[in-house]
Amino acid sequence: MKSHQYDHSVADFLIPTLAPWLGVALLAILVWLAAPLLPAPQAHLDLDRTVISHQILSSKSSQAADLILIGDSSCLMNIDALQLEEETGLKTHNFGMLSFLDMPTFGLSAKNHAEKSSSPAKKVLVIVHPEFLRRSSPSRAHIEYARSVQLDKDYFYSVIAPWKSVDYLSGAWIVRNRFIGRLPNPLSGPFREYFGFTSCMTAYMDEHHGSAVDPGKLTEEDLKGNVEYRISDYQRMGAERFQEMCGEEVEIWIGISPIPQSLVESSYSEKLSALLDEWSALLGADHVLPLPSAFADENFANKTHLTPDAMSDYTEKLGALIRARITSN
Amino acid sequence: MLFNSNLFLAFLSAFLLIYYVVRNDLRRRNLLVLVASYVFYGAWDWRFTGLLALSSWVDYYVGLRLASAQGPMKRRAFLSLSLIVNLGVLGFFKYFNFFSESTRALLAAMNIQVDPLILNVILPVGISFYTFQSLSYTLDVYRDQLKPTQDWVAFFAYVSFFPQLVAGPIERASHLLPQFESERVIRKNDLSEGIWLMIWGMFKKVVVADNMAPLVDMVYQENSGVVGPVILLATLAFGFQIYCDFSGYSDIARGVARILGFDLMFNFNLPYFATSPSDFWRRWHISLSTWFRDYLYIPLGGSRNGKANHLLNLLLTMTVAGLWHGAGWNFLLWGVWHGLALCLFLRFKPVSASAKVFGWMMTMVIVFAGWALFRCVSLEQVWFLLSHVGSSETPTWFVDYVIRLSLFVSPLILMQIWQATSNHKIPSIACPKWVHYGIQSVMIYLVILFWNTGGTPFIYFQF
Repeated sequence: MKSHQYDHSVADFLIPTLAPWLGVALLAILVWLAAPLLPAPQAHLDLDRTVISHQILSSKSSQAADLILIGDSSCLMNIDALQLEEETGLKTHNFGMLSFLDMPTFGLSAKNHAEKSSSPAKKVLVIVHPEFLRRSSPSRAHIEYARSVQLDKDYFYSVIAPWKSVDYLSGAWIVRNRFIGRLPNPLSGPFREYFGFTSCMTAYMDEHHGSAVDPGKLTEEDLKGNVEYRISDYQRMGAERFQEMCGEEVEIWIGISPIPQSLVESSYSEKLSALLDEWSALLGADHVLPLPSAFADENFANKTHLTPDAMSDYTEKLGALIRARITSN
Repeated sequence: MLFNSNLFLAFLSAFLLIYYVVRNDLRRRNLLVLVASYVFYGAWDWRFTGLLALSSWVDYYVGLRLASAQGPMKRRAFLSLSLIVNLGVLGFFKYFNFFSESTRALLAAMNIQVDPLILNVILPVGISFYTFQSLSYTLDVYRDQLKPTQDWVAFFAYVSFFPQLVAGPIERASHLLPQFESERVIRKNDLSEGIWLMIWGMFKKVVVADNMAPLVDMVYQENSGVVGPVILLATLAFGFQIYCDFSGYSDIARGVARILGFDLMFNFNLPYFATSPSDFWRRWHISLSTWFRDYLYIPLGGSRNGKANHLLNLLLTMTVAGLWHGAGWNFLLWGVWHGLALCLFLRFKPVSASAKVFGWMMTMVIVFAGWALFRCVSLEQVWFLLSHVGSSETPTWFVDYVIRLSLFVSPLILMQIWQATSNHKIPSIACPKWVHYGIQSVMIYLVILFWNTGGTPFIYFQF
């Protein structure tokens, strides 16, 4: 017995199959043509993209500052710039981003600030976590995103995959960058519980001069791993580039973020001291701040970020160190 | 393998090509459907295909034995074999831990401490769907409403038919099995309507349901601590999420089947336009509600044997239907809630426009309050939400929430109003071609925009 027969013409098959795609093609052409007229890209689609674009765009504004903070997410989420400003009397802005990036990308904020600010800061405080220092390569997608924000371009992460081609050719990525990214997008995990939407997080960061908080809870998994910290070759190269981007007029201050106490080994303070010396030399730092090397585990939201309460304590300590250093100078 | 994944698109494309090649041989076609369905199902976990084969084999065997068995005792014994195997497998995988834990809690309340056996079993995806589908065959054969099939390939393909295997519609053997035993004809409108159903289903899932999910989770995740009117909004969001997620799956399933020449039953008929609870159940998950009607409610006595029995039968049927959805007290309560609503509105038959509006409002209150029970993860959460919904507190993101909810739900509502007021379930079919295809183009574009390459699982897979 026959299985099935196609009781239709070739056109009956082709028209309903292809006609909707023809419409998609027309929409795509429309999007590509209209792209120069559409609002500027602002892809606040998730936590990472929200942080990166907020910080780079903020560094491009004309805001005046005496001190800017540059670094990875431990800089972003361990130091409250608003509180630090109150502690030191220095107008402070936090441009901390994420550890998936690298020093030259962090340097973009310093460079933007120097070029665009009505009164640029003369002090750049670089705060990174030891985990960042040993990272051997950054995330290409994150770097590309940061570059696209810097250049006011639409973000498209190019990997070779058929689906990516559809996404690219249809111009869906343009619509995503120009419109969907501007909607209030729900964050995920504990950030959703704490902030809610990306729009709420950017409002918080504006209010706190660029700082954010990590509302997560430390897990046992966070306390695994070794503390054989070192500076990777990649970060060494990045440090040189960063120094060039900052220019010679600014003072570079450096500090290293704390780790959970239970990870600390007996020789950790010596290792950290050596790490700081090396890092200071690579960046050509003017001041090295002896920040606390460790905090009790309960003060951590994850391996690298402090809880909001501990953040306040840490900022206070940092403020005291900066005050002391300014007074002695 | 999820419908809304790149893998499925590749799978379907390859399948359609081979399907075309085997068009001259019915047995080869059924064999192809069978193999493809097992590959599709095995993509989750190949070990589960054993359960699918077991369920199919038992019902195929019982069907044949029922035809030759003499005397009611023997027939009942064979039917019992099918019931024990099917419900036993379902009970073990789905309900063992629930009953074990519930017994422990009950004994603990009586100051008897026991250490119950909790098994680390994974719930095989779609087990409730194919078990009921396979079982319906045996029940129909037992009742002499269906002749048993002699073709095991057709029967196994019927039980495992990949478009509707994991989340329905739960097909009756009397409707779907004969389609495997006969030549199918794929006409022009099968293609155009099948494609429309697939696009519409994908739109509901990818654009609406998946964008509702984080909004719902913001309020309904455990210990979210969110209070106030946003709980009502989240419940509304969940109502749309579950509708678009589930009916989206059904639409895609019907669409895929349609382009293969198969007709699957209608599973959703604009349920949020229902004007009474009974009307809702004639429109929501029709394949399940009719299954329970035919194989549980009517055998229990239905509306016969007095009013008290009628109400009791309704309540019992809905309680079991609630428990079918999941092993949890919230699902049981959800079933009881709908059972009580059906009892309360038993004589309510709205005819006038005002009665219909009143009926619609009451039905929506009942249905959406039910969704709150359905979505909660524990009875404590049900209580927390109930006791805090009246709070005047609103989270800082309240306005953002409203914006996002309205933005993603409004296209759905507009389309559903169009469907409700049109003579055709595909209302644009009566429009000029460019409008019809234009709407499909916009839907595809939005699907591309919100596509998650790996796919987001459908809610009903867990049932």
